[in-house]
Amino acid sequence: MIHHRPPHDILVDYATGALAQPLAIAVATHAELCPESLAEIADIEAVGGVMLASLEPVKMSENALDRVMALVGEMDNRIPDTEIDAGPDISMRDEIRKSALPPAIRATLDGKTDTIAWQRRGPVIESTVLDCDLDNYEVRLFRIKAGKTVPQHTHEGLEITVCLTGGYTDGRDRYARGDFQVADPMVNHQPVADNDEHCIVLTVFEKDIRLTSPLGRLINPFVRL
Amino acid sequence: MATLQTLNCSAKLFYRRSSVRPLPLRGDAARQGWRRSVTSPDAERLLIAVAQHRDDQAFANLFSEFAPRIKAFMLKGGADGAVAEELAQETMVQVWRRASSYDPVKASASTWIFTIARNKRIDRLRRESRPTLDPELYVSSQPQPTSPFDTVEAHQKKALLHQFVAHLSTEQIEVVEKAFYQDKPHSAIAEDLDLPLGTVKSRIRLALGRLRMLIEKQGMEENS
Repeated sequence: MIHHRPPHDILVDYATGALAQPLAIAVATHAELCPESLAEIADIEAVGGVMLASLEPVKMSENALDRVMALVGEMDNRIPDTEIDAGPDISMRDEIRKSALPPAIRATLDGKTDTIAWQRRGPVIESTVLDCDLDNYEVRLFRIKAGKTVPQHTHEGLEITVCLTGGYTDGRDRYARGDFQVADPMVNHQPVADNDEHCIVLTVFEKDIRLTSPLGRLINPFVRL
Repeated sequence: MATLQTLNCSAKLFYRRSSVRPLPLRGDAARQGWRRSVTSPDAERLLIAVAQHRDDQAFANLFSEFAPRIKAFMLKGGADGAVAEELAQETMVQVWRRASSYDPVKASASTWIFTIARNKRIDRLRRESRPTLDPELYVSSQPQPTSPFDTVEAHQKKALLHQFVAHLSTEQIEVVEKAFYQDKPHSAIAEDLDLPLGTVKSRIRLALGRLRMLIEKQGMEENS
């Protein structure tokens, strides 16, 4: 059961396509675990469908349909028999690759966390940086040891955390698998992992994080020293 | 790089044009506009014919209905004419190739095509990829929450949504258009309109909520 879901405006920005790609990764990860958010996204996309259908048509070029048919014909014929078992043709595979969640997130959701290249960041935390399309964002997985506390930090910009395994408590609230936390820039954060298992979270933030404790400056994983 | 600059320029150009453009008319004129723009109730059937039989004629019909609207969608998103044409063609290529993954229970044809066009737009105009969901993996065994869109009958109502848009206020139409047509996040819409972010959030929320309420109301009327 998911207790913390994204605010409506983030789901709208996701469904319209306006949300920056690194943040969209966080929403997509959460929504895979949350039927309620999936339904909400589908509802907003349904409005998008009507908005598309409601547009005044703009004339296509004369041979547009022929060109499209030629393209699909080419693609349909391009799969040699020997490669059929290998999956869809190359351009399709490329599309699937681009649209999939980052492999480390998929591995975590599938319980295969030992395949991830964790890097030690102090005694409490391991992390791994994931690829994203925008330089001013950072997308990371963090693995926090059971029962341990993440160094205190605050946020300049937006920070989103999605809990993937285990759970943690931040202030009054507890977050478990699938929960989505939007960090309030004004508040100090000091998440504590549950006692019974390691906690893995996906964190997406706009770079530029302000530290509030001197110890944090040394070991806080958000900082590039 | 040149292309990117061209795109940026055309985005700005469009921006200026759009800001002096009259908002959609309300009342009868608007209703007629929406009605004219309705997709045929056959769109789902055509899409399924493409999926199951690779039906050229069905695809040609879908093409004439959707390609010119996808082109309009791309133009509104800031593409110039040539890019909009190309993106509309590429979107239709995807419609053909992915038709077998279309599930009429989950979405209307126009919604499904919207998601493909939206992803194309992100990919080309913003140079970002789009993480997509694979919900089957994790949530298929869980009970789905009830939504007016959950049943096949309810899904038919989606096609009628256009009738309700005319019930929105001019201000609501304005923000909804910026969100869906111009690929703008809440923060950019607030900046455009020189409104506090909270106002934009509540305006969009109210607009979408109103649409949903009208659908539910119609559903109840038809069931009674």
